[in-house]
Amino acid sequence: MTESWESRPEILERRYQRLLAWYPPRHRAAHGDEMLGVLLAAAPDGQRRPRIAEAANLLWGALLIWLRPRPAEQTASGWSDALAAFSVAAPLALLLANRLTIATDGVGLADRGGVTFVLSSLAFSGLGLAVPFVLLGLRRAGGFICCAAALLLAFMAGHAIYSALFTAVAGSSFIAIPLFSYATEAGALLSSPGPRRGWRVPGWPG
Amino acid sequence: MRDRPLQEPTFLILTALAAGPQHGYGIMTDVEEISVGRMRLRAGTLYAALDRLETDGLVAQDREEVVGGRLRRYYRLTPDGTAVLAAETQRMRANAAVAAKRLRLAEGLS
Repeated sequence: MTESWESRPEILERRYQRLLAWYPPRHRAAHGDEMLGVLLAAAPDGQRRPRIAEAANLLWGALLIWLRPRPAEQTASGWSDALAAFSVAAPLALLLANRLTIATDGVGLADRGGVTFVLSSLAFSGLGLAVPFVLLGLRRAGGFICCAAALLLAFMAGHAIYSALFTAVAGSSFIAIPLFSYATEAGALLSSPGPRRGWRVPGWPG
Repeated sequence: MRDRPLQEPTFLILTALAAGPQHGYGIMTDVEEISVGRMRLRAGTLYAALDRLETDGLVAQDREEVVGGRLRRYYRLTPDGTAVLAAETQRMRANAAVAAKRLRLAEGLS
């Protein structure tokens, strides 16, 4: 019925528009008209509806763009850039904090042994796991590793308080500094465009 | 900083832009030509790739024009994109040289 007053290109265009509606509004506003032009240019004469493979490809592309973190370049946020740069710099600070705390408190705690020391060792091994993710630019994986380490340290702090070791363990820099470092690194990674952008922030060597 | 090889569609998109800016449909047809018909990019793949390449700073928007009432946007390689494409080309050339050498050895043995 509709085809009686709509031409074939108009029908095809309307059907493509329905598929493009699955894209994020930001992407649709920036590229919707352009994509529609490309789709219509690539369509053979007489085509009335998108092919199944083409429709699936458009929906897959929309999903990929929905799942992709937004770049700082497009939001033009100085905070995003700062957090991205921090996400690169923080692993170095974490390493430094780790070495310092072991130098000041670690020997005494190691002598003490027990569950708290085992858990703290595991938490610090999380640092070793997070650094390669950060250097490879794997934002989410690095963020989740840091989150896990921060949660583990928070659990340790709770355990220490419960077992009346707060002044000896949780109150020391052995937990406080790494906990703060992991938490801030996780926040920086998960709320910014991540290390790949961090390396390109103006003024950053590399 | 890039250690992983480029995926073939990405490599071909960057190659299509190496000689100068192109619009979306131009990239699609050029990729098909460069790959001698082996790779046919669809719009969903192309624009997902362009979105990622822009995010990574390898590709940037060059200019826009309106043709037949439709927006046509041109994309170009950034200096980072040129460097990544050059590095990937060098890597592939080195791999191909090793492969050719091994094949010659195999032919010599048979």
